Amino acid sequence: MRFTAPEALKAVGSEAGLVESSSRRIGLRSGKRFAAIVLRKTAG
Amino acid sequence: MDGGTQRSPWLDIPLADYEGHMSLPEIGQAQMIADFFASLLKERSPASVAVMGCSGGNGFDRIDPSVTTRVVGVDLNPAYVRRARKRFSGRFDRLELYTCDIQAMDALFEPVDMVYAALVFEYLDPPASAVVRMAAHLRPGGVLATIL
Repeated sequence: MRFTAPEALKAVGSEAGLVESSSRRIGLRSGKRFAAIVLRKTAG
Repeated sequence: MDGGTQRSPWLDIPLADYEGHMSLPEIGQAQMIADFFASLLKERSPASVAVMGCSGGNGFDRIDPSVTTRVVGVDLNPAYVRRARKRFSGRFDRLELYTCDIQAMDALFEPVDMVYAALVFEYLDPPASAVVRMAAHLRPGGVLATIL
Protein backbone atom coordinates (compact mmCIF):
# COMPACT_ATOMS: atom_id res chain seq x y z
CA MET A 1 0.00 0.00 0.00
CA ARG A 2 1.22 3.46 -0.79
CA PHE A 3 -0.47 6.51 0.59
CA THR A 4 -0.35 10.21 0.10
CA ALA A 5 -3.73 10.90 1.71
CA PRO A 6 -3.64 12.70 5.05
CA GLU A 7 -6.40 10.53 6.49
CA ALA A 8 -4.42 7.39 5.74
CA LEU A 9 -1.36 8.80 7.50
CA LYS A 10 -3.43 9.81 10.52
CA ALA A 11 -5.01 6.37 10.73
CA VAL A 12 -1.66 4.62 10.62
CA GLY A 13 -0.19 7.16 13.04
CA SER A 14 -3.00 6.52 15.48
CA GLU A 15 -2.06 2.85 15.58
CA ALA A 16 1.53 3.89 16.31
CA GLY A 17 0.53 6.12 19.24
CA LEU A 18 0.49 9.39 17.29
CA VAL A 19 -2.32 11.93 17.50
CA GLU A 20 -2.93 14.86 15.19
CA SER A 21 -1.44 18.12 16.38
CA SER A 22 -1.96 20.29 13.31
CA SER A 23 -2.75 20.06 9.63
CA ARG A 24 -2.70 22.53 6.78
CA ARG A 25 -2.49 22.74 3.03
CA ILE A 26 0.44 24.14 1.06
CA GLY A 27 -0.05 25.24 -2.52
CA LEU A 28 2.79 25.89 -4.94
CA ARG A 29 2.95 28.10 -8.01
CA SER A 30 3.02 24.97 -10.12
CA GLY A 31 -0.53 24.26 -8.99
CA LYS A 32 0.53 21.25 -6.94
CA ARG A 33 -0.98 21.03 -3.50
CA PHE A 34 0.43 19.29 -0.48
CA ALA A 35 -0.68 18.47 3.05
CA ALA A 36 1.53 19.44 5.98
CA ILE A 37 0.63 17.31 8.97
CA VAL A 38 2.08 17.18 12.45
CA LEU A 39 1.39 14.18 14.68
CA ARG A 40 2.33 14.11 18.35
CA LYS A 41 3.49 11.02 20.18
CA THR A 42 1.40 10.43 23.23
CA ALA A 43 3.18 9.74 26.50
CA GLY A 44 3.78 6.15 27.41
CA MET B 1 20.77 -6.47 -6.17
CA ASP B 2 20.23 -9.31 -3.73
CA GLY B 3 17.57 -11.88 -3.13
CA GLY B 4 15.18 -10.33 -5.61
CA THR B 5 15.12 -7.00 -3.75
CA GLN B 6 14.60 -4.17 -6.19
CA ARG B 7 17.37 -1.57 -6.22
CA SER B 8 16.11 1.85 -5.21
CA PRO B 9 16.26 4.43 -8.01
CA TRP B 10 17.43 6.94 -5.41
CA LEU B 11 20.83 5.27 -5.40
CA ASP B 12 21.37 6.29 -9.01
CA ILE B 13 20.26 9.92 -8.91
CA PRO B 14 23.19 12.33 -8.48
CA LEU B 15 22.61 14.84 -5.70
CA ALA B 16 23.17 17.76 -8.06
CA ASP B 17 20.40 16.48 -10.33
CA TYR B 18 18.00 16.01 -7.42
CA GLU B 19 18.74 19.37 -5.85
CA GLY B 20 18.66 21.13 -9.19
CA HIS B 21 15.26 19.70 -10.03
CA MET B 22 13.71 20.37 -6.63
CA SER B 23 14.98 23.95 -6.65
CA LEU B 24 13.60 24.90 -10.05
CA PRO B 25 11.24 27.87 -9.66
CA GLU B 26 8.47 25.95 -11.40
CA ILE B 27 8.94 23.03 -9.00
CA GLY B 28 9.69 24.90 -5.77
CA GLN B 29 9.64 21.82 -3.58
CA ALA B 30 13.08 22.26 -1.99
CA GLN B 31 11.99 25.71 -0.82
CA MET B 32 8.69 24.33 0.47
CA ILE B 33 10.43 21.59 2.44
CA ALA B 34 12.90 24.05 3.97
CA ASP B 35 10.26 26.69 4.72
CA PHE B 36 7.91 24.31 6.52
CA PHE B 37 10.86 22.92 8.45
CA ALA B 38 11.88 26.44 9.47
CA SER B 39 8.35 27.23 10.66
CA LEU B 40 8.26 24.06 12.75
CA LEU B 41 11.61 24.83 14.32
CA LYS B 42 10.45 28.32 15.21
CA GLU B 43 7.14 27.11 16.67
CA ARG B 44 8.49 24.16 18.64
CA SER B 45 12.16 24.88 19.44
CA PRO B 46 13.15 21.20 19.54
CA ALA B 47 16.44 20.36 21.21
CA SER B 48 16.81 17.44 18.82
CA VAL B 49 15.52 16.74 15.35
CA ALA B 50 15.83 13.90 12.84
CA VAL B 51 15.31 14.43 9.13
CA MET B 52 14.19 11.44 7.11
CA GLY B 53 15.46 11.42 3.54
CA CYS B 54 17.80 14.25 4.39
CA SER B 55 19.51 14.26 0.96
CA GLY B 56 22.39 16.75 1.10
CA GLY B 57 20.95 18.46 4.16
CA ASN B 58 18.12 20.48 2.68
CA GLY B 59 16.84 22.73 5.47
CA PHE B 60 19.75 22.09 7.84
CA ASP B 61 20.82 25.68 7.28
CA ARG B 62 17.51 26.77 8.83
CA ILE B 63 18.32 25.07 12.15
CA ASP B 64 19.48 27.39 14.93
CA PRO B 65 22.36 25.47 16.56
CA SER B 66 21.90 27.37 19.81
CA VAL B 67 18.38 25.92 20.11
CA THR B 68 18.55 22.59 18.31
CA THR B 69 21.82 21.09 19.42
CA ARG B 70 21.36 17.56 18.11
CA VAL B 71 20.63 16.92 14.44
CA VAL B 72 20.11 13.50 12.90
CA GLY B 73 19.89 12.85 9.17
CA VAL B 74 18.98 9.59 7.46
CA ASP B 75 19.17 8.86 3.77
CA LEU B 76 19.44 5.80 1.61
CA ASN B 77 22.07 7.28 -0.69
CA PRO B 78 25.57 7.29 0.83
CA ALA B 79 26.74 10.05 -1.51
CA TYR B 80 23.97 12.31 -0.23
CA VAL B 81 24.96 11.60 3.36
CA ARG B 82 28.62 12.31 2.62
CA ARG B 83 27.69 15.66 1.12
CA ALA B 84 25.49 16.56 4.08
CA ARG B 85 28.35 15.72 6.43
CA LYS B 86 30.76 17.86 4.43
CA ARG B 87 28.35 20.79 4.41
CA PHE B 88 27.29 20.75 8.06
CA SER B 89 30.04 19.08 10.05
CA GLY B 90 30.90 21.25 13.06
CA ARG B 91 27.74 23.34 12.84
CA PHE B 92 25.86 21.53 15.63
CA ASP B 93 26.90 20.07 18.98
CA ARG B 94 25.86 16.66 17.69
CA LEU B 95 25.43 15.80 14.04
CA GLU B 96 24.51 12.18 13.41
CA LEU B 97 24.20 11.10 9.79
CA TYR B 98 23.21 7.60 8.77
CA THR B 99 23.04 5.81 5.46
CA CYS B 100 20.00 3.64 6.02
CA ASP B 101 16.74 2.53 4.49
CA ILE B 102 14.06 4.26 6.57
CA GLN B 103 11.99 1.10 6.46
CA ALA B 104 14.80 -0.82 8.09
CA MET B 105 15.47 1.62 10.95
CA ASP B 106 15.60 -0.24 14.23
CA ALA B 107 16.83 1.84 17.18
CA LEU B 108 19.11 3.57 14.71
CA PHE B 109 19.46 6.62 16.95
CA GLU B 110 18.32 7.80 20.37
CA PRO B 111 14.82 9.26 20.38
CA VAL B 112 14.42 12.88 19.31
CA ASP B 113 11.91 15.68 19.87
CA MET B 114 10.97 15.96 16.22
CA VAL B 115 11.11 13.69 13.20
CA TYR B 116 10.71 15.51 9.91
CA ALA B 117 9.65 13.46 6.90
CA ALA B 118 8.77 15.67 3.95
CA LEU B 119 7.77 14.11 0.63
CA VAL B 120 9.06 10.79 1.86
CA PHE B 121 6.08 8.52 2.30
CA GLU B 122 5.17 8.46 -1.36
CA TYR B 123 8.40 6.55 -1.98
CA LEU B 124 7.99 4.05 0.84
CA ASP B 125 6.18 0.81 0.27
CA PRO B 126 4.58 -0.07 2.58
CA PRO B 127 4.57 3.34 4.28
CA ALA B 128 2.75 2.14 7.39
CA SER B 129 5.79 0.33 8.73
CA ALA B 130 7.87 3.46 8.23
CA VAL B 131 5.43 5.46 10.36
CA VAL B 132 5.81 2.92 13.14
CA ARG B 133 9.60 3.05 12.87
CA MET B 134 9.66 6.83 12.91
CA ALA B 135 7.34 6.89 15.92
CA ALA B 136 9.71 4.53 17.73
CA HIS B 137 12.48 7.13 17.30
CA LEU B 138 10.39 9.88 18.95
CA ARG B 139 10.40 10.83 22.60
CA PRO B 140 6.99 10.86 24.30
CA GLY B 141 5.48 14.23 23.43
CA GLY B 142 7.68 14.51 20.37
CA VAL B 143 6.23 15.16 16.93
CA LEU B 144 6.34 13.57 13.52
CA ALA B 145 6.02 16.36 10.97
CA THR B 146 5.26 15.44 7.40
CA ILE B 147 4.49 16.80 4.02
CA LEU B 148 2.40 14.56 1.78
